[in-house]
Formats: sequence, structure tokens, C-alpha cells
Amino acid sequence: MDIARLLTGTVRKDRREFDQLVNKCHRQAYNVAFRMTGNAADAEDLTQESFLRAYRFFDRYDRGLPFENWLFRIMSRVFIDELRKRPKLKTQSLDQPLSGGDDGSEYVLEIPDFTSNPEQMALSHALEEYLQTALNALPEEFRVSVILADIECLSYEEIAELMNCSLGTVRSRLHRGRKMLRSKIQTAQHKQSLLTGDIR
Amino acid sequence: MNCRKVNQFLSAYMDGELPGVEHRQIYEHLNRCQDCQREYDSLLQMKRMLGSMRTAHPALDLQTRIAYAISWEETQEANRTPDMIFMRLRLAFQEFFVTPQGLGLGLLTFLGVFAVLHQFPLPLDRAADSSIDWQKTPNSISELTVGLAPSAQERFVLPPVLRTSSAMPQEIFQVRPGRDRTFDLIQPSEQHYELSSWRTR
Ligand SMILES: [Zn+2]
Repeated sequence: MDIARLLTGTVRKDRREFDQLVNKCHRQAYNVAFRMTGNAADAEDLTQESFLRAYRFFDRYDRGLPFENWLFRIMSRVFIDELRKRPKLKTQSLDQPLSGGDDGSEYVLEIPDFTSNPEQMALSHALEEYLQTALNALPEEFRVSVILADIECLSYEEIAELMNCSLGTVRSRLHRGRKMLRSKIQTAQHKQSLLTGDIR
Repeated sequence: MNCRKVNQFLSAYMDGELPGVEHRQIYEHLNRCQDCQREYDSLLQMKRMLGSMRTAHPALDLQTRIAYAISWEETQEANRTPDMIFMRLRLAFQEFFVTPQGLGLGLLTFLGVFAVLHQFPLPLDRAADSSIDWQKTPNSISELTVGLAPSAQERFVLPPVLRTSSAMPQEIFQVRPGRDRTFDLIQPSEQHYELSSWRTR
């Protein structure tokens, strides 16, 4: 059932094409939105708002470029401009104790040895949760850059283009962002090892 | 290149975003400097950890909700700045709108209004009254009187097709007298008659 057709009797010509793009991209978009916002409710809002704006300006979309990149461009703008104006209700404090991992592992923040399995590391749920908390604490531009580079594997050029900044800015945001994340994780690991008496 | 300089380029080196010359310089430095190699490994681990995060899955109906939101906006073209909060309200409305309960309720209301109008028909003739309540003007007007002044009133019989239009009371307000007691609908600016009385079927 189509509400537009019911109420107005008309549907824009490119609606079908756009619906197919929503079908193809909404999961990926949601994942990125989730990593940006850190929670499901805001991620849904951000995903929906991004698609709405994309549809609004669909005539400006260059069909020669990947739709995802164009959508991420809109999404990062919406995220940086609008979501950060709102009070952060769900941001977990970095000093807050963590919930344990599902696997019941004792040292929940233990980082797996990536050298033995470089393709895919199995992160404990607690570590992943902490990583998200650390991401949430990054300044928005840093967070978006890190997510686009390390989760979506975009090039610096693509990130610079979609964030409207220079390559040098992307490089420094990524470098500093990763270092900030690392120091947050290391602090957490240190606290964890003190708690569990595991001094390594 | 000293360690300080190398450190600045480690992320870009790791991402394969350095020009060939610089890339080779860093590569050679890492081969002979353990401190920088350790720093590199630790940054690479950070990158891999981020890449290994599980994919967050949306609710099953997210795609449907996006489609509804777009459809809704298509009907609200004038509204160019939807806020996230309003979007939620809209979604709540849409959910109500499309549920069977919502449709049922709408149908019942419609039938109720229909029944009441037929049960209690309005008086045949309304006295001339310039302060017409358009909300209460019945849809079943068949004859009306318009005029610039009470002394120069003209009377018109509505064609059958207009009698059934639900939007009729507002439209009647904009009529143009024609020949043989006919009229055309006109734009509000064109000519303004005042409806002073009407007759129901
Ligand atoms: Zn060095």
C-alpha cells in the first residue's frame, strides 16, 4: 500500500529507483548510523532522515558515483549538524563499569591477537561495547572519519570529498582519532586488570 | 626521517595513502626502529578492531518505515524542514493510519456522520443570512441564492454533479452566474458573490 498514491494519486517518477536503493543500502546505512550515534533509536532516526534528504535532493545525485558515498555524505552532515545539538542522553561514561561479555570470559577487555588471524578478529561483546563507548566519546568529525575509513573502508579522497575537507585534515583526524581510541581502550584494560587482579 | 616525523605518517602509511617515496621511507624506518614498529602494530590493531566490529542490524521494518516517511513527505511538500521529533510523530500517525483499527474507525465515523445527516435533515429553507457557518453547511445543497446585495440577488440551481461533491460548500462560494441559471466555479479573486441562502434537496 502506498500512502502517497492514496492521498495524492501521484508518485514521483524516480520513486521506484529510489526505493530499490533503499532496499539495497539501508542495512549498511544503519550500521554506519549505529556506529555514529551509538544507539539504535538515534541510528534509526539518522538513517531515516538521511534517506529522506537523499530523496529530497535525488535530482542532484550523480548516477556515476556510488550511492552509498552520496548517502554517507548526507548522513555525516545530518549527524554532525543536528544530532550533536541534542543532549547526549545515552552516552555511557567511560568511568562506568562495564557489563560482562556473553561468553562469560573473565578478562572481557582482552584484545585478541590480530597477528594470528589478521582477517577478522573475534571481539568479545564487552570489548566491542567498550569500543563503541570510546567512539561515542570522540569529537564528531573524528568519529565520522574513523568510521568511514576503518568500518566502511573509504579512501582518504572519498572521505575528504564527502566531509568537505582537505586530505590533510582527514589524515590528521584519523591519526588522532585512532590514538584517542587506543588510549581509551588501554585505560579501560588497565582498570579491568586491576579489578580482576590480572596484572600483565 | 626521524621517529617524530615517522609517527605522524603512520596512519596514512597503514592506510596505503602515502606517495611512493614517503611510503618507502617509512617502510625502511620501521624495519630498523623497534619503537616505531611497536607503535605501528598498535595502531594497526586499533584499525583491525574497528573493522572487526559486528554489523549492527536494523529492525525488520526500517525499510518500510523509510518508505512511509518518504511517501508522507511527498504529501507534505510544503514542509521543507522536518525535525526528527516531528518525524516520530508522523510515524506514529502513519502507523495509526494504516492499521485495520484505524481504517475501521474512520469508516465508522464516516457512516455515523452519513446516518445522522439522513436521520435529521436540515430545514428546507434557510433564511437569508450573511453569516453562514461553512462548517455546518450541508453537502446536499441543490439550489442557492447569491447576490452582491440582497436587492440584486440571483438564484441558481446546482448541477447534479456538484451536489455530490463533498468539497462543495467552499466551492460554491466561488461561483459565476451564467446563462439559463447555470454557473461556473471561479477563482476567489475573480468575482466575489455572497451566498445568502440555500435550499436542500
Ligand atoms: Zn622510529
